[in-house]
Amino acid sequence: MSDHEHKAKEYQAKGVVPFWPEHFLKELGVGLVAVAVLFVFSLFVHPILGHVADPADWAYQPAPDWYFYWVQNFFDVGGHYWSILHLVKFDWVLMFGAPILGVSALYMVPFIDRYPERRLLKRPLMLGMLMFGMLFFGYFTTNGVYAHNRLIIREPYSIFATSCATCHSIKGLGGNNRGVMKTPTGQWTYPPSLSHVGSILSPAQIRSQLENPQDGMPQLNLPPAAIKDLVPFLAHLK
Amino acid sequence: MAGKKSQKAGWTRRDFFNWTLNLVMGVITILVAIPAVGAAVSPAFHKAAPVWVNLGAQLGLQQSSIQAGSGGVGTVVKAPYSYVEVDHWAKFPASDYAYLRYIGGACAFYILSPICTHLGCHVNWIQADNQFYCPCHGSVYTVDGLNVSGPAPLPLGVFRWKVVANAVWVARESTFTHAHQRSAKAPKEPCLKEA
Amino acid sequence: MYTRIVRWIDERLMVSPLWRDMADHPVPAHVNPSERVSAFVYCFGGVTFLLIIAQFVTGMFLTMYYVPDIINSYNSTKYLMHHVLFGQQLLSMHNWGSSLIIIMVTLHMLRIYWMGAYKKPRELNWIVGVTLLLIVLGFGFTGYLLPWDEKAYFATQVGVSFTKYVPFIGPALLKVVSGGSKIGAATLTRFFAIHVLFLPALLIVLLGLHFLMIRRQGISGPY
Repeated sequence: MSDHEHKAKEYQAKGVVPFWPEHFLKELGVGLVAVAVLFVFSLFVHPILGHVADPADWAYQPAPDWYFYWVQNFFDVGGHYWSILHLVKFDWVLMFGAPILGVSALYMVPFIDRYPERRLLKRPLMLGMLMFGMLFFGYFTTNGVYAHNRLIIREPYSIFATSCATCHSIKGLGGNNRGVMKTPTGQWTYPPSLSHVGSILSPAQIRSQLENPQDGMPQLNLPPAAIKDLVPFLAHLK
Repeated sequence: MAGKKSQKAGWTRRDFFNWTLNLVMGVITILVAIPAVGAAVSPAFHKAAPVWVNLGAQLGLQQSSIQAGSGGVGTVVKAPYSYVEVDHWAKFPASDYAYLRYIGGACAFYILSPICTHLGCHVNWIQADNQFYCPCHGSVYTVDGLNVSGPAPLPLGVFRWKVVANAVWVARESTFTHAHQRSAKAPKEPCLKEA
Repeated sequence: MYTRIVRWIDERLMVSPLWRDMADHPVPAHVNPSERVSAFVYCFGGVTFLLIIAQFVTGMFLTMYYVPDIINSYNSTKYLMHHVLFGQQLLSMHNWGSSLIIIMVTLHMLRIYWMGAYKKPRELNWIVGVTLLLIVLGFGFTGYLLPWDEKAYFATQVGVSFTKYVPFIGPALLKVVSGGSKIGAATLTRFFAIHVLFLPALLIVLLGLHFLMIRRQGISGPY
């Protein structure tokens, strides 16, 4: 019996396989599927190269890669509530503290998890953290995708992105959260979120506000066609 | 091991070599790191110098401002200029304009940046209202550049300027002096004329 | 003939003991999909590694055409997409590969988390793993700017603006990260260097550590 055969017998008795080639082949088989999917996918779906970067194009609302949507949307929504709570001075707590806290928590997972058990159901704190993380990622990703689809990609809503989104936000997208709106009486105020404007104002009231802005909103001189598009869109936000 | 060490107080030959080794490695690391890290963090210490641009002959600008106004008092006129935009090593020809007003006296000119302090659009001068309007979000500025309405957080920027060989030159800067920063001290428009 | 050449080389390199150690090391039954189909969950890490190698290859070939310069980067990307044989697909594979890596890394992490595989003595490997995740995200962020189109420019502007909230050094850090007072020529060269040199070097070192620890500590389980 050769050395190799001897070893194979020994491994078989233990119920293990050598890394090379037995195990590696299986691993590579799964890898082949992944690369094949990638190959076929990239044959038919190509990334879109937009217009060349123009720093003067201030109205452009950028979309990050899909896996950063949640980051962007979290800070958009968070920033909005931060300004409502008059915490603008403590911006760094949200913009620096929150990511540091999140990353630290991820690093500390082995030290937070002191359960002797390994089954997730017997580690309620870890299960809770996982659920929280997944809900967090899922909510802000879908919210971000929703906001971008509504405001950017669909043609009728692009008017919102260029005319309203610089002050107002919808579901955290757009909006000026820094309290820089000045009313004629000289007071500083925050442009309200339009996420639920449809349940606050009637379509007629929305139209009137667009045509004759009140409460410190500037006269936008929107063309009638734009107002016609915007009124049902805003009324729909409930 | 520990017992042996405590017997021999002080430095052994081995300790000496270890420490020297650490020291030499440290020095080598520092020698390589100084230029490398220095180059990487260089932008933090870089102070952008203003770009001086030529608006044209002093007399011509003065006359056009007076002609646009009424009763010999100058009003706001557009003063276009071209310059070379420098982004580090990359250079592009570019053009822009300033809002210039002849105010008479020793100061002669009051020159405003047309850039809205909200999101950087160019504001329009509407002579009938004696105000600047931003076409983007309706910010309104007075003739002196003070923000009175709309989302603009700050007044318009004011150009520093000087006269060289009978031509007016203004300083394009990354951070402007804004109109109200001076007006609090002096009731009149600030004079940013330089020698 | 072949074996003789191999033997001749190995007499001088003496790598065969190292190779035998790696090739023959026993892999337990609970990670073997042919023993139990559900064991495929143990493959996500390996697939991630394979995809990273694919990114290295596609990335290297992309740099044959790409110019990291604000005047030419957009045009060179456009040229690659329209005038190079399989150029469009090369770029696509690199682009979608990054997304696939994020998915695989996430699945890999979920598996570790689910099984509590980071418990003693594997805490340090979890820490290295989280660092690897951040590096992968760094690749995604720096790579996004390189085509120099509108979305690249403005997404980067939003991204780097976070650094200004770092206490005390924020404004200086923003300048260092963007290479100047605004996103421009120096930002692009900086991001390019980070994307193709700094991060890959870091990635290779940490991947080596990651794998070394797997060998030393073994695969966790079975449970």
